[in-house]
Amino acid sequence: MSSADHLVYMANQIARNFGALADDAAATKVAEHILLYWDPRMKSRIVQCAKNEVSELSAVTAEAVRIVADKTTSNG
Amino acid sequence: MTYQPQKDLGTPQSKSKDVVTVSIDDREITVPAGTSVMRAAAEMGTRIPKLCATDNIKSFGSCRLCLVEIYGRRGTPASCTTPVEDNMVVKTQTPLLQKLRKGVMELYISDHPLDCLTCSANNDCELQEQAANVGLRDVRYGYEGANHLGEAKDTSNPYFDFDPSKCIACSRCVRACDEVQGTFALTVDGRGFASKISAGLSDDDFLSSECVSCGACVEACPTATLQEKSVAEIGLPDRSEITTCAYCGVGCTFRAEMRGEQLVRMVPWKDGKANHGHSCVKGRFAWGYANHRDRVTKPMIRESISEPWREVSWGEALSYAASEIKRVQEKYGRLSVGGITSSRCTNEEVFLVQKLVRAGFGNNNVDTCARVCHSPTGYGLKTTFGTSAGTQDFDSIEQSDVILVIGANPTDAHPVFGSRMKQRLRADIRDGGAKLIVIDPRQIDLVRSPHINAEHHLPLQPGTNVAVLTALAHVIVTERLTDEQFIRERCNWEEYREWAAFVSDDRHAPETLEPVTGVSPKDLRAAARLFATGGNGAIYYGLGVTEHSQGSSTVMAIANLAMATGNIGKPGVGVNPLRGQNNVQGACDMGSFPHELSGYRHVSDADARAMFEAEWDVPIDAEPGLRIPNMLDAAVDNEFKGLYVQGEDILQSDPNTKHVSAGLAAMECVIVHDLFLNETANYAHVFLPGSTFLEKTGTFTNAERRIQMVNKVMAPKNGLEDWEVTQELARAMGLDWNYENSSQIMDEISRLTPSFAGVSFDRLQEEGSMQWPVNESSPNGTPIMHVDDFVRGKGQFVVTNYVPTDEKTGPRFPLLLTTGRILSHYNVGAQTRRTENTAWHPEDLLEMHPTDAENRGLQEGDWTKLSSRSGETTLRVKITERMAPGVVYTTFHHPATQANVVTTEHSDWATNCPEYKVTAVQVTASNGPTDWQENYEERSQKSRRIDTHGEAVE
Ligand code: SF4
Ligand code: SF4
Ligand code: SF4
Ligand code: FES
Repeated sequence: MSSADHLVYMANQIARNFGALADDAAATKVAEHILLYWDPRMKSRIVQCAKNEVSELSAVTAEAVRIVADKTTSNG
Repeated sequence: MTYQPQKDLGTPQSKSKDVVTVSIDDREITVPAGTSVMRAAAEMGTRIPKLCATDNIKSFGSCRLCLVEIYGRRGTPASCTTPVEDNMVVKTQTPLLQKLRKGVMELYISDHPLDCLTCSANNDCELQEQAANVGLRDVRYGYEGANHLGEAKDTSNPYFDFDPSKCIACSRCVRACDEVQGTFALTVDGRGFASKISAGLSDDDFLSSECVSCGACVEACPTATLQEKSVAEIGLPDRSEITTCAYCGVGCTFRAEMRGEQLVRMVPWKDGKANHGHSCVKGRFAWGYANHRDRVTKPMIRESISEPWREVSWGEALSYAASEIKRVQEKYGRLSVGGITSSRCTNEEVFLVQKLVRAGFGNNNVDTCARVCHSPTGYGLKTTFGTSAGTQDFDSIEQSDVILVIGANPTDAHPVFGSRMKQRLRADIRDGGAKLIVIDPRQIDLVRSPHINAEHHLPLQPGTNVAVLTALAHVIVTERLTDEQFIRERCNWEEYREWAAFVSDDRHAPETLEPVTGVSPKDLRAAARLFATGGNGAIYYGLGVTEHSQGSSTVMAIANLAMATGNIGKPGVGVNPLRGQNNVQGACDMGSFPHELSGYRHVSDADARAMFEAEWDVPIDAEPGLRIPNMLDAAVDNEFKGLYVQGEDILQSDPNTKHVSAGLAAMECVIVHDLFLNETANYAHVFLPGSTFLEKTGTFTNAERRIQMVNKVMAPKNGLEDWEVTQELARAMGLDWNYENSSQIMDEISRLTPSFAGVSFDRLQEEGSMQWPVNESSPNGTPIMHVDDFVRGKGQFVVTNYVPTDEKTGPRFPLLLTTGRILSHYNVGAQTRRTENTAWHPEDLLEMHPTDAENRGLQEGDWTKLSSRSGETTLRVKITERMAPGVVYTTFHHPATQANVVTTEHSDWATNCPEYKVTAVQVTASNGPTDWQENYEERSQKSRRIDTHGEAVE
């Protein structure tokens, strides 16, 4: 697995673990998780992956990455 | 201090709250009811002669040396078996008693070789001491009536000898093995003076018997019959120092008994609060690695890993390392370097490594080997309870009624606590004992062992922990067995309701989940009912819980179960992670994780950062850093280039060896700080020699949050304690660090970490040990957590959705491999492989069910090839019914096995803790090592070369 694919896999895996929640709530949780535990480089990469639409982010993950993108740009 | 044997009060302490007052030799003493006359006398300093009694086992009353006279009673009762009674009047020394005792001693001595002067136990022998105490000068019976003289010594155990000719048949050894250790390896044959002690069956010796070499019998033996070989070789110790075992998270404390600068033996310390005088083979005997010839004591460097190592001075090694880190950071950026702390090292050493990364490297790229074992514990317990630690002390188990063990094998991985657990589970002693539920794919020893029978063993499919725990919760909630009062008072009720609705769904009924978990719904329901209604329920778990793609979810599911049944906040209950390495707890506490400062405060917490910024005078990055697997990913992407690894062998212990070696090979500066040229050092550019726990002062924190002193007993062979090495590296990088001793580091930890506010070396020396939090509200520490409130306030129920692992069996890989460890070795075995412990486990074996073996035409001991999607290795097969069909098992103690060549890069969703416990594999017949193993061997031979005088040696 390339490292970008691996990152996407990790993000989707987090989303699956919040699978019992409604999509909105799940996306918020996934975003929270990524913000708290991923280093800046991983965050910017996953945001990049979402932009390039090269990879298979699940709907919940994609929404979560949008939240992450908002938060990271607004923090500078 | 000069040498003093440990006190022996003769019989165990009584736990009774009532007291009685007696008169002994005209002095009054008040003791708990149930105390023996012998112990009461000993407590006031009167030592009644004794041979068959010792204070960690029940009295037996066989030697008849401890006779006393009691006013108003006929005869001369044995003081070890006679409990005190109110107003009793006891005489311990009368002419009659003296005569009787002399007679008894005479009999013993007539059956004993009289080579005292040349005996290795001379001056450390209770028989000799008691002969003197009773004034024996002459023996009337002659010395011919000997029963034991001339019998052959059993020297099969690598650490102690058994010399039956010196045996007085007191049976202390047998009782210690039964009561303290719980192994039942020894038996007494015959009666009285003719009785003989033997290990196992008649054709067994100590090594081939069930004996696990814990040393309890050696400690109990009053004569030289069972004695450490090292005492015979070196002589009796002349001083001793208390210190803490550096192997596992039980945290046994020992007396390191020294003769000059030489360590004679490690004797478990009776006042140790974690071990109460017991030990296992590792801590007691396996310390020889400290002097092993493989140990490297001089710093070394090399420009590339294809070159041989070059021995250099400390100064040169450190300035080279510092300049390389700086060079890498200038070229690839501030975030391109990081560090790994070791859970083998002291709290102080760990704290300095993370300080070096955060303050010196200027980023948060610090992680610890706990990543690969207990990081899900950190995440799960912090989320549900508010802090990342076990809730109980070990003593709590004495008040448990139901013990649930999931994904742990305490008798192998945490032996001394395993023995405590066994004592509580034994139905034949004390109030019928606690009931046991085991959830494990493998039938671990605890399920069936002498006097122990698990009530329920749920042999689940590897990877289905969350499904099984949710099914247990389903039964408890739908059958209304929850503790509603506890939940309403202590937890968030709304969250509970959501969780209860989730688990109640029919999807989570044990019947629905059976095809997934493989667990009989009937057994599962019975186990759930027992846990919920059987009284105090305690959960103990280990790596079989954490090392899964749902490790964090499993920890939270365990916490949910404990809260739902009200099993938190009092003795006898709780959620208890059994930590692997000695200082995993401490390494986590000390801020080793890339997102957390010490005391589990997130780096985004501005108030916490401010404390560190003020003390260290540098800005702290508010963004989390890289975790070990992320570091390796980034290295493969050429964005992470430098790493300082203290005391860990990531190449051998981390999953998917090929990925790890690719990551390491891509780095430009790898600094390994260790005792040995470990596997990771094959990829290193700088080697900084480390010191052993015998050579340093500091603290370890065990699985019950107990902070204990490690005291230096000898000078470091490499010249510096590990914290000094890190300090010198920091100074070489230009940091102004000036710690004069590790106690000053603890003072800094205590200033910066609220849960350590009251901790200092002085207090620890005074108290013996303390359990954090130690702060204003609990100045003496906290044996049991969450008593009135959870650390986070209200307990949080978390919905844990079962997500099957992506590691699935199929036609190519039809079996599931799970991994574990065994008693005599420790983790990747770097230390234990360099001791005589190899006598018990010379190689890693693949355990397999007979049916699976038969289908493949495999016989016991055959070489097999074990392959997975990641790689393949070879090892020998062991056929056993302990395994369920379809599941195979191995350990990873020997580098030649390379078990992690086959494990995959799947990991826990929340923490990236690797999924060691589930790998889809195939097993086929083979005739020898794989190419990878052979190439690997060649490469590591090559990269271990040291160039001493212009020529390379191996
Ligand atoms: S060493 Fe331990 S297990 Fe072995 S016989 Fe002695 S007490 Fe029993
Ligand atoms: S071996 Fe030692 S402890 Fe065991 S019966 Fe003989 S003298 Fe007593
Ligand atoms: S390895 Fe663990 S159980 Fe054994 S002596 Fe050391 S701390 Fe105790
Ligand atoms: S010590 Fe009491 S009978 Fe042996």
